[in-house]
Amino acid sequence: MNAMAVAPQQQAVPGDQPRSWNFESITIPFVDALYNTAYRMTRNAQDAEDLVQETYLKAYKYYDKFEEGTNLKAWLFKILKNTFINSYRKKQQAPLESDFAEIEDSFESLVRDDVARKIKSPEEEFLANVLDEDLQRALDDLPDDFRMVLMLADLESFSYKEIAEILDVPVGTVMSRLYRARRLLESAMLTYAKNHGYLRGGAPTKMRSKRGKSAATPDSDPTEDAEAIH
Amino acid sequence: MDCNGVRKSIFLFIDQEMDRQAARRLERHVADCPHCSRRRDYTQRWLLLVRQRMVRLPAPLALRRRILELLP
Repeated sequence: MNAMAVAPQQQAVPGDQPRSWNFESITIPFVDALYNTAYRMTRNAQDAEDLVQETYLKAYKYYDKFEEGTNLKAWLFKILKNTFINSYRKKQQAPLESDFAEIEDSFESLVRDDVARKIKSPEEEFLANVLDEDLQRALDDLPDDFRMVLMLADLESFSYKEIAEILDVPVGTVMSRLYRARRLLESAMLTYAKNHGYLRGGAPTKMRSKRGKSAATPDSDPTEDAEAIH
Repeated sequence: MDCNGVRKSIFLFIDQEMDRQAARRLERHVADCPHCSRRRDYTQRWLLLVRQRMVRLPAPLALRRRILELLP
């Protein structure tokens, strides 16, 4: 990997700092956020570090193109996303942009469950029994484009408009993709919770003792097929 | 706004990305519909759980250092 970026011309006017000094101080605060998304997308610590490093070098190289006063965080994430797609994405995964009706509605199935089991709130029971590992695995199971939009919305709290800017898609696409991503995530989390036996009357208190575990998962092989959730 | 409409737009509502009029229509329906009220409460809690419990790792110190070293 080319380690040194081509530096933009630094025209130091007497009394002014070169623009590059400014770059470092205003962009380094985003390194944790960029790293987190990079880690979720590559699912590999080494790739994540390389991706973030490459992002900073690209950002520095193209800093002249950044309009001061506009959304720097979104601009950096856009570079991260493009670099990920160009250099780190393992396989093409086109998200299925078809209609909302196709996604399993976990809420409906939970509500039906209260009739079946005569308990007041299966959805509360579900939420109370989600393990950190369930969430982590369900996230890893998502196709790349769904995981990406979810990171931007729910890890970084970007607005739909900002996400549209980062992904270079219409806001309508952000809405439907995020909807699908969250529904898929929810469905996977529910499946894992069921596997823990919570729906078979398993005692919630037993589950709680597992929750204290650190959620940092070992590196999973990104070339392995994700569980089919479509 | 009917129950199906709520189902489709509940995230938009919780994310506060809905225009005011549509949001008010949703709220009016939810006020009269126990099923959708329950859906709204559950979805809010589910989303909060996801946001809070997604692990946030700090960037490794070595990475920070490397970036600062590599920048001219």
